[in-house]
Amino acid sequence: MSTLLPGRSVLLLLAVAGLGLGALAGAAEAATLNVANNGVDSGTCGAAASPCRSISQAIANASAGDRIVVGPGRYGDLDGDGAFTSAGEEAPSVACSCMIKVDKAVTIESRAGAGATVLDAGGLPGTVVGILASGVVFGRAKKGFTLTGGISGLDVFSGTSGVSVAGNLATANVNFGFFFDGSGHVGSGNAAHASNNGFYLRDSGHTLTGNLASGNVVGFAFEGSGHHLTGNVASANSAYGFSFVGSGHLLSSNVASANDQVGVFAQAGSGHVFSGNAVHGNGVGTAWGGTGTLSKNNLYGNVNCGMNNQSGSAIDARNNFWGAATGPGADPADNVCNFGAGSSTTTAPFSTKESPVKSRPLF
Amino acid sequence: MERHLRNVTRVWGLALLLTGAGLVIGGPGAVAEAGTLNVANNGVDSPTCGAAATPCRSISRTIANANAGDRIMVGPGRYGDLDGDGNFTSPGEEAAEVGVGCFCLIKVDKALTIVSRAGAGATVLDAGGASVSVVWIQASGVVFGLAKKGFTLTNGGREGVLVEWGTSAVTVAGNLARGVQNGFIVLGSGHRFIGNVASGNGGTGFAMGGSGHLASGNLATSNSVDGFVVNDGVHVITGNMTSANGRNGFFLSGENQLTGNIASANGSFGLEVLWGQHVLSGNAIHGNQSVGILLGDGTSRISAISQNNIFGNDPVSNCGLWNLSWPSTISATKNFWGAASGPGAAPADNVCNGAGSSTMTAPPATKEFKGKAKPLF
Repeated sequence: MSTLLPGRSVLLLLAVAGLGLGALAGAAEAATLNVANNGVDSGTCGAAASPCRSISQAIANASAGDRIVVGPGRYGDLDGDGAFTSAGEEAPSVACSCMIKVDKAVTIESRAGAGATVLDAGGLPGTVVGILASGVVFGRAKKGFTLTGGISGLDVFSGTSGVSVAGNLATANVNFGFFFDGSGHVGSGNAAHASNNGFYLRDSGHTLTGNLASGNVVGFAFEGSGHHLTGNVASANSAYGFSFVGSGHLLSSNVASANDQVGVFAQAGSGHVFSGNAVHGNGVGTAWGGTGTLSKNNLYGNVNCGMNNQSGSAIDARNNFWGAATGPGADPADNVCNFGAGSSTTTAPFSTKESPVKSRPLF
Repeated sequence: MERHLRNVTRVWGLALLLTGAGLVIGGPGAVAEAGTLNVANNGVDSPTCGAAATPCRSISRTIANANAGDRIMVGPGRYGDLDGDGNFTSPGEEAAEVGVGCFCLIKVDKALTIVSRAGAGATVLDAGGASVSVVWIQASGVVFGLAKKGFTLTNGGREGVLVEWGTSAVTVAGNLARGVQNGFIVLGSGHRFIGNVASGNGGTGFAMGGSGHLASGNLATSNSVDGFVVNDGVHVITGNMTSANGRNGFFLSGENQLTGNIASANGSFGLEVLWGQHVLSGNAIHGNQSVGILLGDGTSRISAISQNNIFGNDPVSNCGLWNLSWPSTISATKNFWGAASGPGAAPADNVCNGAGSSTMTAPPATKEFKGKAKPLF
């Protein structure tokens, strides 16, 4: 149900006054609903003077296209009794196994940023935020949320498209910081810590830009096809920085550093393009069970092989910088290792100097 | 130690060239020119490493090769126990002092500027689980990290960064401490901590002792104990965020200024003042699981608590402020308690007084103050 909010009030007032609104009258005006820690939930809350207490209630009161602005503080199981039944608490949904269900194409952003705005599932056996509608905008740069205490931080469901997720911090969720199913979603400027997978992509055509995955088991994992990852950083994850199967993924200008096992692991699939990335200080730099091309990357300082080709195929890895002007080899350069029958790697010509990598730090 | 070939030699080379050509270029080198030394994951440690073409592998080696005033530029990758064998003896590993000396992975004992080339996320100082501080600063004037040029500090059994007693004017900026005991411990005087993140540490995010520090624009989140512990004084704590920590957002004693900070969703108090005389103004205290602001029994000299937003705290007691400063009256006028009518029942926060304590709240602010804390991302 939509409430009578300022934007709509103006339209009604003008209509009552007999003003000709023309085409405007046919188009619903997007409204802004407010949520705050001093709000009170009701079927009409959301105006600036009467904010809702829970994001769930604000979503229920909103219409597609509306914007929900959330003040700083805590949202979730406020009294910590595990029940989510007290006044102002979020309304977990069985349908999405999530604490906050976003089932309309709304924009949800915080007023004070992720560090000050905490969505805490409190150990609920589900995801903190479940997005079931296409076109949702969840967070923006400096206007995101902290997502914590769930099985997943944020889950974009299958069948959706065109969802934007930005400026959020997912920490201490069990399985996934951010999970994107469906197609054509964009995740930018988010950070994921302390989950099994910082970011997980399924289905097709997602874009991840400028995100940080640090201190997870796997930083970025993806399957499906045609995902674009650019300008992301995966560091200090205990297994892999980037790990993927499927086909036709493009990775450019990313950094994989100090991941314990493998920096970038193309486990299977074909047609991957890996260009302009930096891969340093990992166990193995990049391992290839699938096939693709590598160029203009900086690959050095990894404990074992800078590149481990175990695909059983020929891989084109020309024009990369291996840590020395002389190409791949012993320390301080990284070497190229081929394992299994049919595995071969073309590295010449190689770059004689480091390539610029355009990854931008989050802070 | 002998000064070795690095970028700075280009400056001296130019000076010699000009001198040889008969040009006068001022005094005869009375002031040493600061140089830049480089560290990278494809570097090789030696007593002469550090030039752009011959970077060092370890930051420790570079510090040994540097002179006060030099800048050290660190490339992306891992620094620490590179082969994970629990020792720090293999080539290129940091010169950690485990169980002796500084109990640290990297000791900064000269007034250097140490920055990363690719930012904190990409540049990892990994103590490999050893019971050490990741970085221990024992010289005045050190700059460790800058905005978007900091480090990740992780896997140490002690602090991410420890600034030692006796130091002054150290700047620590743009760093991420995660998976250590305490994120940042700041002693000495007149240090600046700007735009750092302490997240998921076993103890406290930021702890300060000594005098006259500035902490601005930092984020302490999801640490097991407190976000910020501020002792002694007079420290300026402004524009920071502390959230989702296991205990308090801020834990305060001494004589300090807290302005424009946000404490939200912490497991206990948003702000606990143990004792002392502080300025508490322009802060936002919301959604903490216990009381918003707790004034302990040594806080009777607090002059004023004003222009703060205090609401949404403690769903059980509904106390935005709990005054245990007995025996005294605390002034807490011109705060916004969540309702235009001032402190009271939910959705406002109330003011609770212990026996013998009283709090003056009138006039309250009738609307929310605009927050000044700037999110890091």
